Order: sequence, then C-alpha cells, then structure tokens
Amino acid sequence: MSTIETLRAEIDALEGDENPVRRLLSPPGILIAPMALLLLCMFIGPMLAIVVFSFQTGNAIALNPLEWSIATYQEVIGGMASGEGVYGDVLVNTVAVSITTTALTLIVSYPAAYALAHKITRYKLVFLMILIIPLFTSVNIRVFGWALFLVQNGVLESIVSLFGVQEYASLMYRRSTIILGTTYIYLPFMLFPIYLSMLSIEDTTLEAAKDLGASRLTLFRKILLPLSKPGIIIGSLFVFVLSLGANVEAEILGGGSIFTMASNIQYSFGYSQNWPLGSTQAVGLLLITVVAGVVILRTIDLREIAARGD
Amino acid sequence: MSTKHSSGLGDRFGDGLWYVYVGLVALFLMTPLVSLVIASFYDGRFFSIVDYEFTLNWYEAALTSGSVRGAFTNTVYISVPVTILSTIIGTAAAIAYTRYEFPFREQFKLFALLPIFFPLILLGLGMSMWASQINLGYGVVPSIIGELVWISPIVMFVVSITALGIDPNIEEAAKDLGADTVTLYRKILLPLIADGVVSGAIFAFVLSWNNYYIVSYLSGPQSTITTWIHGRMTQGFTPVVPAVASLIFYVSILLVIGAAVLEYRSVDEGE
Amino acid sequence: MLQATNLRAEYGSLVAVNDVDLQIETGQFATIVGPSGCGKTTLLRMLAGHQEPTSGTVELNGEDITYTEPQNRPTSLVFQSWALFPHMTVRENIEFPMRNNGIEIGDRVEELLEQVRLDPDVHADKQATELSGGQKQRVALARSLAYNPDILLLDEPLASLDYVLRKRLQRELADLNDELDMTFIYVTHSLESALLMSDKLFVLDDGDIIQTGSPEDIYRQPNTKFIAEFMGDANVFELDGVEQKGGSYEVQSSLFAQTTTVPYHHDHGEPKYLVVRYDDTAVETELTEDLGLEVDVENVLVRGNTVLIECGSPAADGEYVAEMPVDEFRATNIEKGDTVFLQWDSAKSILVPE
Repeated sequence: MSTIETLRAEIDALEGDENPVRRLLSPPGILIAPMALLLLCMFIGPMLAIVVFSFQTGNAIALNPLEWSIATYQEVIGGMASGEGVYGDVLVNTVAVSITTTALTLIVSYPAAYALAHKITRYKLVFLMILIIPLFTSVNIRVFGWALFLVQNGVLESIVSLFGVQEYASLMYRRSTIILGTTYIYLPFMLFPIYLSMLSIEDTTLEAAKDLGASRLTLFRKILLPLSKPGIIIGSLFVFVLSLGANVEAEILGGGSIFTMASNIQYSFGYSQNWPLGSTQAVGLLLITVVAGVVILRTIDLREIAARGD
Repeated sequence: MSTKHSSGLGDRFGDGLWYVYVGLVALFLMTPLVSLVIASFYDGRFFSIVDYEFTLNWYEAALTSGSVRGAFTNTVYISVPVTILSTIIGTAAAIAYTRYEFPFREQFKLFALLPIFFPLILLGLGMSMWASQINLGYGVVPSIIGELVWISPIVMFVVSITALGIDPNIEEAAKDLGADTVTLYRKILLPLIADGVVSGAIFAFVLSWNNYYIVSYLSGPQSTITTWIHGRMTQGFTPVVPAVASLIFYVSILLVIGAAVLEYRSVDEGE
Repeated sequence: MLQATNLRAEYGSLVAVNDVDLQIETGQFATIVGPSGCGKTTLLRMLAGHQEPTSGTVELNGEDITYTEPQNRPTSLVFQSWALFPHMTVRENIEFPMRNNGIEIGDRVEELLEQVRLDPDVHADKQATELSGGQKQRVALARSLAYNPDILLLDEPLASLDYVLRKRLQRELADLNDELDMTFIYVTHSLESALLMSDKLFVLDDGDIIQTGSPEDIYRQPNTKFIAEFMGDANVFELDGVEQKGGSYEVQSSLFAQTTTVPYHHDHGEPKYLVVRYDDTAVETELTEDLGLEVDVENVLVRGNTVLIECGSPAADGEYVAEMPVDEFRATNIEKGDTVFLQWDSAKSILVPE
C-alpha cells in the first residue's frame, strides 16, 4: 500500500515538474505573472539603470566594469560633507523642506484624523471626499492653484485688499512657500494612514478609559498615541520620502531659485545632461525610498483595513 | 443633574470645535483648487473680487486650441489603455494575493505594492534611462507601460481591500456545490469584487489622467495635458491655463465622487 | 458506507491528523468531537476534498475518492460561517448547485426551504445578506441538500447562534437525518450537541481518535481521564492502589477512606483515576453512602433547579463539586463553611486509565 502511495506521490511530483507551463497557466500563476513581468521589466530594470548609471563616466553604459567610476559619488558626498557649494545647499534645503513638511503635516493631520474617526458624524462622507479629491488632481494643477492664490495681483491679494491692506509683500519664491506647497501636497498621505489607525480604536475603548478616570492628557498619552502609532509611522515615512522627491513645488513656488535634491536631479538630467551625476543623487533617494517602503508595507495590515471597511 | 446637562452642552461645544478644525483643513485643501476655478472664469489680468468679471472665453479658447486638443488626444491615448491594462493586471494580482495560497505570497505583495511608495520622479527618470538602454524609445507606448508600473499596484491595493472582505470559505463552498473554475470566477468571485474593480479602474483613469512625472520623462516630443500645463506655467501666466487645468479637475472630481460612492456602497453591504 | 483508512495530515512538522481510521454507515448521524485545535476541521476538510491528505485513503461505498475534486465528490460541506453567496438571493443560492449539477429546478427550491422550515413565500427572494443568523444557517443547509449529496458534512454550523436557537436547530438536524437517509457528519467542540444528535461519536484529541462509540457508551465508560473530563462535569480522584478482581478492580485512594470494587473492562491498561459525575454525588452531614470523603463547603451556586456545591478537601488541595436538586439540598440545612461528606453510590464510579 505504501509503495502505491509513494508511486503516486512521485508521479504527481513528476507531472508538476514536467509541466511548468501548465502550472503557470492556471491560477494563481497566471494571475501573478502579468504583474511580476511588468514590474521586473519596467520597475526593477529602471531602478537597476539608476544604480548602474551612477557609476558611469558618460551618458552610456561602459560594458567593462573596470571603467566604472565613483567620481560622481565623491563629488556629491564630498560636497554634502563639506556643506559648501551647490550640494551643501541642496542637502540643507532638502532636509529642511522634508523634515519641516513631515512635522507640519503631522501636526495638522493628527487632530483632524482623530476628529474624523471619532467626533465627526454628520457630513462625514463630504469631509472625506474633500480630503480625497486633491490626491487625484495633478500635482501641477494644485501647485498652479497655489501660485494663482499667492501671486501678486492674485486671489489672496484681492481678498486682503478688501480689508484695506495695501502694503503687500509677495509670498512667492521663498523656502517657506515651497514648504507650504509640499505640506499641502502631502497632507493627505499623512492624514489617511493616521485616520485609518484611529478608526481601529473603538469608541468604547476611549469611553472605558474616561470611565476609569483618565484625564485628557492620559487619554492621549496612554491610549490614543500608542494605538495610532502605526498610522504615524506610515504617514511620516510616506511624507518624508515623497517630499524628498518634490520637484514641481520647488520649481513653481520657488521659482527655480531654491535647489532641492529633486530639482537638482531634474537639472542634471534635463539641462546639464549629466546622467551619472543625476543617478548618483537618485541612488540616495532610492535607498531611502526602498527602506521606507518596506517598513510601510510591513506595518500596513490590509486585512485590518478591509475589516474596518473604509 | 444640572451639572450633567452643562457638561453635555460643553461636549457639544467641543464637538463643534472639531467640526471647525476639520472644516479649516478642508478649506486649506480646497484653496488652490478654488483659486484655479475662480481664475478660469475671470476676464482680465488682475484679480479683483469687487469687480469680478465672469467670462467663458478661456474655456472656449482652451477647447478650440490646436495644441490643447493635441495634448488632450495624447492624454486619452495614454489613459484609456492604462486604465484597461492596469485594471486587469492589478485585479489579477489582487485575486492571487487575497484568494490563493502560494509560496512567497507575502513577498509578492511587498514587491507588487512597493512602487506605490516611490517618488514619481525616481520612477520617471529610471524609466527614462532604461527606455533609452533597451531601445523602447519615448512616446505614447512607453508612457503607457511606465504609468502601468505605478498604477497597477494601486489597483491591486484597492481591489485587495474589497477581496479581503469576502468570506474566505466562499470558493470552497462554490466548489463543494459543483462549480468549476470558470463558474467560480464568473458567478461568484468576479461579481463579488466588481465594486472594488470598478473603483480601482476609476482611480486608475484619474491617476493616469493627472500623471505628470512619469509622462514628462517618457512621452518624448508628444505633449499631454499635464506636460502642456507645466510648460505654459513655467513660461509665465497665460489665462487659458487655468481653464484647461479646471477642465481636467472637473473630470477628475466627478469620477472620484463616483468611485467613492461605489466603494462606500460595497462596504455598507459587506457589513 | 464511508471509510477512511490511515488518514494523515501534516503541516510541516506538525501532525494535525495522525493516521485516523473512520467508518460511518450510510444514513448515520456521526459526530466528531474534540477540543479546538484537535484536528477535527482538518479531518472534515479531507473528507470534503478541500485538502489532500498527506497519506491514507477515503472510500465511499468501496470507491476510492481520496483525490476526487470537491466539485465531483458526492459530499457537501456546511461551513461554520455558512459561506452564503452575499450577492445572490436565497433562491439563487439554492439553485446554484442544482445548475452546476444539471438538476431540474422546478419546485425544488420551495420544497427545500420547507424542509428546513423556512416559508418560501417570505424568504425565497430575499437577498442572502438580509437574513438573520438562524435563517442563514437554514439556507446554507438547504443549499447543501439541493443536489442530494450522499454525505452532508457540517463544520460547527450552529456555533455562533444563541442557546435557544441552537437547541432547536440541533433537534431539527437530527429529524432531517431521520427523514433523508443521508449520512451526516458533524464536527463540534460542544459536548451537548454531540450527545443530543449523534448515532455515533468519535472523540478526537491531538490528531488521534481516542474513542469511538454511541454517545451513551462513551458517557458511561470513557476511555481516558481526558474524555471523562471532556464529556462533562465530573470529579476525578487519583488512585493509590488497584487490584484486579475478575471483571472488577478493587481500588483505594488517600482521598477517600473506603476501599471499593468497581467493574472495569477494557484494554487500555490499569485504572489510574476514579471518576464520578457531579450529578451522581450529594453532600450530607453524615456518611450514608458506601463511598465518600470529608470536605468543607466553599460555595453554593444555584443552577436552575439544581444546586452546585463547591467543596474543598482538607486532606488534598483538590476541589470537588456535588450537584443536587434544590429541595434535597435545602432539606439538609447545610451552609457555606460547614464540614460535610461528599458521597456517592460506589456503583456510579467510573474507572479510567491515564
């Protein structure tokens, strides 16, 4: 009897091995294949291209790895370390913009996420819609809208002039204006993760805490903050990484006068046509992105989001 | 009794403050979009709320301009295939991830969803170099493939959330009751995730419609609506730009509201 | 007749079902009972075809169905979650298996709904999501019956219902089994379901079937201490000395003073424990039965028309419980804190091995 079984198992094993095509053509193989193929060809490939190009000396790949060079790394890292020249500025600007953006979006989003999850009952769908819509509007359009709002003779000026203010300094082309833009663009990326983790806190948990004599501060420190931590982590990483890559904001609201990493990368590719130099800077961004992306995805529990139904 | 009553009033006042706060955040988020719409109807170079002059001239100019029409056509040529393909790819991956067991399942999810978290400038420039290396070139087709990398994972995310809400025994029940694979998909699985697929498709269209970074790196000489706006924007103010941008915005807003209503309805039924 | 031979399921190094043999006659109501995690659901899924066994065979009326796909197997599984198709009406749910198996629909939906005691006029065209828990359970049952499977497999489908409804549906399931001449295999961790409905009981623990028999046999003569405790409220005394006397054993324990002789006839080794059920014991101020021990009354709990008297023994640190009718207990005038005798007729004792 056991020989028949082993025989059967062997036949099964053979069939499986001999016929990988058939296995690939039935679910889940055939369902996974398109996504895997797409990402291998057009995601892994391009990211490899960035890494490989960062070691080149020109805008083509040298086939002999001995001709590869780390000159661009020396230039970029050296410049950032000394804090002088364009790379010093880029580092300071980029870090300043990203950290400030992350902090500001967190401060603005946290109470709003709490309110949406636990306080807002009427018109909740309307509020959620208003918060979602900017996510689905081109970065260009939103930044352009801010420019129309802030620019001389713009919407803000005409509102302010209603109150008799005539002396009006232009708000455009400053670092703080770029931060306004990035804070605006990436606010939803902070708000929604925190909102989702706030939703997982049951109203009864909060009531129980109050019932057990927790003050507002204790409620916040011992209940709300620890339970919403995954949302804060996800949101902060998300905003930090995305604002590192912010270029349109710097270009339009900063008027091209303030260089950030993204605009510098763009410049290397567009104006100066120096791919290796642009790639080297992009590798830095790539490393940070991959680490943050993996942390985010390991923190997100899709099942929990599905169960919460929002 | 009376203290309780007053604390209730206090609470209500507190709740009111929360509404005011969320309202302010909403106002902040709406400011540039409202500015855009106001500007698009304004007749003249200088704003004044007091003597605002309403006009539809810029919309007319936008709709009759040859370069806008060209950009619009290109955008449609990119968005429609991206919507169809990303919906198929993303839905298939979502079904595999949520409804099957296979080796390295979690790693597959991690890999497939990773592009969502990439700054688009990184995806765009990597693809641009890659396209030149593998002789893919630049234009409509490379733009489609490029956008798929970012949008298919988003569809997968949206559909996965719907699919995870379905009773995990449903396929086994169907098979038990004599359904073959085709019946299982046609009668059970696809109808159950239909709402998620439709909202995923709408999101895919809207995101593709509004995409700037990837297209700007891959479209080459072809201009799309977003690259057209970007080009005009950096060259100084032209009054037709707000009108074009507003038009895109109107389409997006309608579709997003549609998708949200669908998603909300399916969640409601699921409970 | 359904026969499983040496059925085994492994998950990596974990053995969920350990070479189980199972034999169920056509038309029987068989129950597989055991604590959660004992492998009973895995066993059921192998019978239904949703999981391939690591080794072993399943035969139905002599035909090997071990590797038959669930859709081609004359078994039907009613899930714990019922797994109704939420996007279909009750009627569509029930028609689904009939269409798949090419069965003529006709008035069958109405018949089936009546069979599970749902009014077809009221419920047939409701959406599956509009039903209450009990109604969903009935529809799931009707849907499984719709294509006349030889064997109906039930995976604790009553677990999430409230007590009264569960009782009623248990009765109805047993009636349905009598009516239909269909084999029912029911999996549960709940003793009351197992005892109430089944013709045959399989007790599963840690992947092994440790006892098979009629509910009454198992209740009366559990094979092990585990089954004795699992089957119901029972006091367990460890034995110190045992001596075989024909078909009986003479046993003694430091816990009770007397030596007693109790019938014991099976081949699982020498008895190690004496078990007596709560409702076979009583407390009194004097020792009147032939077996008993001195205890302190620690707590008195009224449970409907009986009283549970929780006692501690000064001699050992165990806790023992007697269950008596309320009136009988009142008549003894015993109160919490009294020192009394917990006692029983030695013939009510059950001996079990380890």
